[in-house]
Amino acid sequence: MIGYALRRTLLAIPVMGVVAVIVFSLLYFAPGDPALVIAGDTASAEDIARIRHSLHLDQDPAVRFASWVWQLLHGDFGTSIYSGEPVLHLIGQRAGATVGLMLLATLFAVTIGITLGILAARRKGGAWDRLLAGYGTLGFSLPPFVMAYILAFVFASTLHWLPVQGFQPISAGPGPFLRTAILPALSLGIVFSALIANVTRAAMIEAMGQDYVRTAIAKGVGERTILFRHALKNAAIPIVTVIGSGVPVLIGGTVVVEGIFVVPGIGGLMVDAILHRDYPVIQAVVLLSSLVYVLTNLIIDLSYTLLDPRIRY
Amino acid sequence: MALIEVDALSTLFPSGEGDLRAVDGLSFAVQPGETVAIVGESGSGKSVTVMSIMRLLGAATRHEGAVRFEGRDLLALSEAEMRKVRGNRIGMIFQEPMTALNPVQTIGSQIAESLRLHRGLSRRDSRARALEMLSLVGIPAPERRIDEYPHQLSGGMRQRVMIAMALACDPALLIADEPTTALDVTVQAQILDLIREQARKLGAGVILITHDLGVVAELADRVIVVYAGRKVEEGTAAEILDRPRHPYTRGLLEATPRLRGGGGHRAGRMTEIPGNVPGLAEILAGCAFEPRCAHAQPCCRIERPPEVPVAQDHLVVCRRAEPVS
Amino acid sequence: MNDMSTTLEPMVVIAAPPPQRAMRIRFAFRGLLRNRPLAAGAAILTAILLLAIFAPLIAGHDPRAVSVGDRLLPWGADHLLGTDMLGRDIFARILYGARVSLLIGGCCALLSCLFGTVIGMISASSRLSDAIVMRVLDGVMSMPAVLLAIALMAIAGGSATNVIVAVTIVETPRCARLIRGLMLSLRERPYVEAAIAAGSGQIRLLTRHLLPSLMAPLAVQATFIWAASMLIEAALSFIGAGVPPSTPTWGNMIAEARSLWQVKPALIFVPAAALSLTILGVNLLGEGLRQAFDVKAGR
Repeated sequence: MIGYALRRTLLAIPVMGVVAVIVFSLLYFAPGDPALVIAGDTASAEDIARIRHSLHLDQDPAVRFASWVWQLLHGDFGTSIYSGEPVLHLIGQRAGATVGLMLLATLFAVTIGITLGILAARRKGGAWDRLLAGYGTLGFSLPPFVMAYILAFVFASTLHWLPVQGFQPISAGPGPFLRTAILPALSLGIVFSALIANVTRAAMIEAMGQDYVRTAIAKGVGERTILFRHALKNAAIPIVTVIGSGVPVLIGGTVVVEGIFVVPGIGGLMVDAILHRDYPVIQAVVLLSSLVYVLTNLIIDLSYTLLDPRIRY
Repeated sequence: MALIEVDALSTLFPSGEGDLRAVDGLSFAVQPGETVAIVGESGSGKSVTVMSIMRLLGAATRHEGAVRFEGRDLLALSEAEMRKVRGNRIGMIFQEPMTALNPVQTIGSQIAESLRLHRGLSRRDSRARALEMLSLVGIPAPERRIDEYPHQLSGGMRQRVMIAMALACDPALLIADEPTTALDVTVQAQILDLIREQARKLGAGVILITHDLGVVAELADRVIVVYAGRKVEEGTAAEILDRPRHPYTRGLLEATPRLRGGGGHRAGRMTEIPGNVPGLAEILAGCAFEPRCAHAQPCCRIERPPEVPVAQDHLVVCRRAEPVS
Repeated sequence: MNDMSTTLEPMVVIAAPPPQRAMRIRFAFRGLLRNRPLAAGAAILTAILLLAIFAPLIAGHDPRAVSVGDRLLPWGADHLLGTDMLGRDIFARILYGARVSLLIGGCCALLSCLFGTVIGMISASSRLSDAIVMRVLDGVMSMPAVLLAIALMAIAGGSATNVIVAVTIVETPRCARLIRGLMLSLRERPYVEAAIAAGSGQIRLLTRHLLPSLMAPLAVQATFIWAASMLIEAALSFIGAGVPPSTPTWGNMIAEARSLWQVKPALIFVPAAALSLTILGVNLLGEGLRQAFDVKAGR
């Protein structure tokens, strides 16, 4: 088990290596001189020279890549071209809001998704199943920012139940946080919950058709116990896997949704960085979110051994 | 008084082309302590019969007739009342111990589950009783095995666990659906011994579903031969095996390779019954076996054959049978 | 239990002859008509496609024509859906926006499937190439699609072509993975093994045996990519990293209306509805195809 965990962790390193190479070489996708592109049309010659130097564009790419990775490994993600502050510092300031939002969205998506999936799986073609089909079709068809505007329009502008702006971090207390975070979290979480619900439904239908469920019925076990104790644990692996695969969906969603609800998070940082072509910030955000995803998948892979005793490494 | 009395049971699966009649007016009874084998080809409705008794077939299935067990009609019970019968008064052993056990639960908790459910035992007491059951069914080192998962056990061990589960609440009736089909030949005899032994100790009745006449000879007191969801012959095991009267039963016996005796080589030529079991949607006015019967007469097609007693404890459902005088 | 044409266990079951080809096709066709998602999706997309193609004839206005005197008009006879903050006709902008959205979505789906199939097949061809290609794909796929697309756009600059390139880069790995998995499992199928044993050439094996089996899952996957790329395109435009604002796209329309959304929500909800309806159409089409082909495809 520990050996497997080590091997699995080692396997994540080449993946992160590929990510680093891609993020690094993105700069070369720019038509012409990247320093010129980043500096923009109004930049002076000194600006361009400064950017060129700060990005080490005057060095050989291979040398530059090596020193960049070396710095990354020492926790140095460079300096923002726009604000001049260390990138890691900027991200640290804003990570809390985004992480809080993502966790709330995940909590919401997991609760709704698994519940709806189980209810739909109980009777194929039943009322809950059809509800899920509609919910899923709608959820997959409404982009997160459209969802955000619909929710803001209904619950903030029309019903005045919740504010549109004025995000409060978790440190301000659960009440203010929930009040201001619930709409952005819902906007992010609905698609995710539909995804989880679909996978849960399929996995539960599969599990409920197995012989051991018939055995449980023949033992006199009630439906609820069969659903939760017998079937759900057998259906856990695909469900947990899809929860892990939702991380990039959520990260992608925050970029657009944070702007609408004026959440001071990573998404806003990213949008500003695009505006100012603040390349070190963009690099760092992409790199770190990939790292989060890779680590999440690592944990999920390792959790398989807990979920299914047949899996031993 | 009979332990269980199945009275004109029919099981109908609704389908696009009308109801499919998997069991068609089947009647039989099991006395306490008696082992009754239901024998037939796959598709003959023998498995469906016991699934109907346990009401395991899903909401869409329709039943006709009655299943009287301990003074009540099981088909008329509410789902909650039925749950109190399943696993408690009636224990069931399935064919595939591999898939019939939950792969993510320890065998101990699977045995303990019905004890906690029906006996209201605590976690500790149910575990102690599960341990007792494991040693009862002959699992070595039960205190180690109890926390293992099904995949860590051999096929024969898994079937022993199944039996322990089915017997945990001391049921009055044990249903075994092809209990040895999925097992190695060497293990089959041990499992059959175990079932016989435990049923005798409990004084429980046994319904045994099988297509293997060797198993019948080993275990059964009485035999019911079913064909296309109908009973074609019923009698004591000795009568049926030695003096089969129905052409179908004879065919079944002749199609069975005889491995016993004769030093391992087959005694006599194995034959087969020509034709197939009729489809469930077919409406058969007369004898269901008529299309495949070598002795069929025109009237067999039109009229249902009568139940003819041909000896004491021997009933044949065939127009050609001579009643005992 | 519902196994009806059974015989005594020791005997051999005689399988029914396979249905005739003509009958199978008739069955399939009847199935398509009964396939409600497929019919609904095709109807929605056909309608939007026709509106997009004939936009110049239907629109009645130049989507870019600014008219300061006609700002924020409500819907009416002249401006079917009213005008935006620069007095541009919303209906015309929606129709022209459909062109961009469908074009980008279609191109991305086509290109991603094309590259994905090639890469997937290369990956499946040998252990070495599989190891290399899969590591690279894992890397690309571990980067959130929207973020990677944003990063690409930020550096390459906003244009429709760059959006297509960025989204194709993001979506190709998904398709490549699918094809690789299918190829690996197909290789184990008896009929493919038989064809190899019979000395079928590589090309013949590919075109006669493998490609036909790939078409159904690929078609379903193409609809997923189509929907995803329209979504990413709109998101890029929305945050100002997509098609330049001068081009009328649904994402741009929503982005421009952001500051006014509490005053005039229709400016946002009209393009949002158009976008959602189109994605709905694509999703229904995909679901219909999935049902028709009985493909077990994950998103």
